[in-house]
Amino acid sequence: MEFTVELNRVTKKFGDVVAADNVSLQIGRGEFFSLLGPSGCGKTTTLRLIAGFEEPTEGEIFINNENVRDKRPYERDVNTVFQSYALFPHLTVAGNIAFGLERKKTPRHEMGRLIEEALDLVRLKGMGDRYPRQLSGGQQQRVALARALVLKPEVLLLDEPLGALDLKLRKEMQLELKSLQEKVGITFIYVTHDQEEALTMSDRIAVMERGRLEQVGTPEEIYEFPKTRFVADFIGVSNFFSGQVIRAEGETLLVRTDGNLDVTLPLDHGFTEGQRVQFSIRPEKFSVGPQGKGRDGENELVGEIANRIYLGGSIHYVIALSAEEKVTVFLKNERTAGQQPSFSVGERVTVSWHRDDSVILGD
Amino acid sequence: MERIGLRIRLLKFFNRHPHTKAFGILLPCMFWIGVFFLLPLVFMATYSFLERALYGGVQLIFTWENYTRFVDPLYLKILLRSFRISFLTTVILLIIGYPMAYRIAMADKRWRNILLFLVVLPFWTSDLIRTYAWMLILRDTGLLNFLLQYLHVIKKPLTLLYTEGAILLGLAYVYLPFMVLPLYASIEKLDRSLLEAAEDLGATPFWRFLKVTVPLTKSGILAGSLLVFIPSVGAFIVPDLLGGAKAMMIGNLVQLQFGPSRNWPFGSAASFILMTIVLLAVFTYLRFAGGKEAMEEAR
Repeated sequence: MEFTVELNRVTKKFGDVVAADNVSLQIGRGEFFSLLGPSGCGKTTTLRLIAGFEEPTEGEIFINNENVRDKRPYERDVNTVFQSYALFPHLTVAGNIAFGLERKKTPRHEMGRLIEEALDLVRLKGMGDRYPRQLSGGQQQRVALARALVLKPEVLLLDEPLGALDLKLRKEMQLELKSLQEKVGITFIYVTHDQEEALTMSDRIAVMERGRLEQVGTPEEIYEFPKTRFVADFIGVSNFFSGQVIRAEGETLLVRTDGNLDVTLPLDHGFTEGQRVQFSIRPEKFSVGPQGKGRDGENELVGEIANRIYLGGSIHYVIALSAEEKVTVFLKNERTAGQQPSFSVGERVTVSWHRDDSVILGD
Repeated sequence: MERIGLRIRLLKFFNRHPHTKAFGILLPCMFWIGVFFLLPLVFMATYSFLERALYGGVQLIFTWENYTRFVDPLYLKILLRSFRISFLTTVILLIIGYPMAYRIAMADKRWRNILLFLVVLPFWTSDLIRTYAWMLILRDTGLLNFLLQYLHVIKKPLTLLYTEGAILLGLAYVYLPFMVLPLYASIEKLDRSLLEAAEDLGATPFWRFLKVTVPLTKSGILAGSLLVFIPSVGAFIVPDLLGGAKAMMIGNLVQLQFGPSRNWPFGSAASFILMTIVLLAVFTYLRFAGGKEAMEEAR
């Protein structure tokens, strides 16, 4: 695979604070790549390192297989869409878009055409004469996008570009950005703290925490097979258990949880008898019924419904399996005429899930 | 009881007549401007059309002569010199002041106030004294000539004092804070992400400065230039002490007329001519430099 951007053991320190800690990444051509994490996790710093606004304390960055150590931001073939948009207030929309083109010494006649094309691309036709302050937040965001895209960079860096928009507009823009990216075929590196946004748009996601990469993978990998407790917790909802390995048996690992429940996990050769183990199960992986389904590899436990939240399309339950261990379970509302009653608080039910739906977590 | 009743009636009256209320609030200010600004101006305007009395003061005889007298190569040269020196002072201060203000604005927060303090510090002594200090430095037996001779750079002392150069130096020195402070205020407000955006879009530092920093700090440039230019044109302490008789500026001329020459009508006329030209120059400048912004605002 050909990489547009490669980070090789990059560390960035601000005084004693390690903003990016030994980050290695390979981002492919035309990929929509997201850096996801809570605020202060180092995702923006990583982006700024690629843009050239910060210099790495250690490590190397390659853009198009070229070490960019000595390249200033204006010498790098990357452009940024800033969180605050950073549109030039003294220039019109067209002037903003022309700013980079002028530096590239684009001929006059061609410039007009390119600006029109860019405005068209972000659906702002006819807005070229306006000033940024005359535009709504969503429109300003599009101008910022057009201003960067018109230069046809190798990589477009986006720093929470939708953060300032309201929810409805944000959802619209997510889809629009994604289709735009597919249309222009430019590598997007997208910084966000919104897991849903990352899952919706990305080809791959890097989850960051305290300057370190927790996990890199496709949205599906990240959601279904989180490697660490942080990832499982940050993305979606997870039920966490910890316990001790009793023994390995065939395909399974027999574990007794701290709440004294015996469950089976998929076999992991890294674990031996007596060792501590942590695992998580997603709330929608459970099934609940008066009795279990008795499938092979199924865990079945009896619990009591402690809480029920009716959400229309789905119902969320909190089910107590033992004194300390409660699980959150999401069930689809499968009620049809005269059928499928839901469970009520205090009811005793059998909770079951397949052992392969348990994900063993690292630290 | 009666007093409270009066107060309430007064308040009600003001509420019914908001314009009277506004007038009441403005009254002290109008009084001040009227007595200390407009009235003297009216006196001066009147004087400028009267004939001088023999020992100062005026005679109530109308004349144009004070104005026609000014159209003399001698006076026109002084006027021209005043504008040339003020213009050069403004340009020099822009060149010195901008990088200075920029550096201060970009400095670490805890340094900023210290640096600003240092810029304003000279204000704490009278500019008369500071200008005298420059005389001691610049004169033939002064500090600078002494040092240069001591270091064998020159053999004979250079004539530094009583030149236009000395005036330029003095004015630039005295008015530096007037340039730096407004520039600092506008640079400090500059959104740093705009500078990054410019760089990100391919702008070299120079291009970025020209296309982003300067246009966005235009208000500071305009304010600083005016604050330096206007008082420079009318300055008289600096040209008097550092320029001497050879490099007289219009401020000295006016002072001379009101002082030793006892020709108040001519002094008034000179003041009015100066005021008119400065006002015209300022309006042209604002139109020319600030015009685009004003037009844009009007949209």
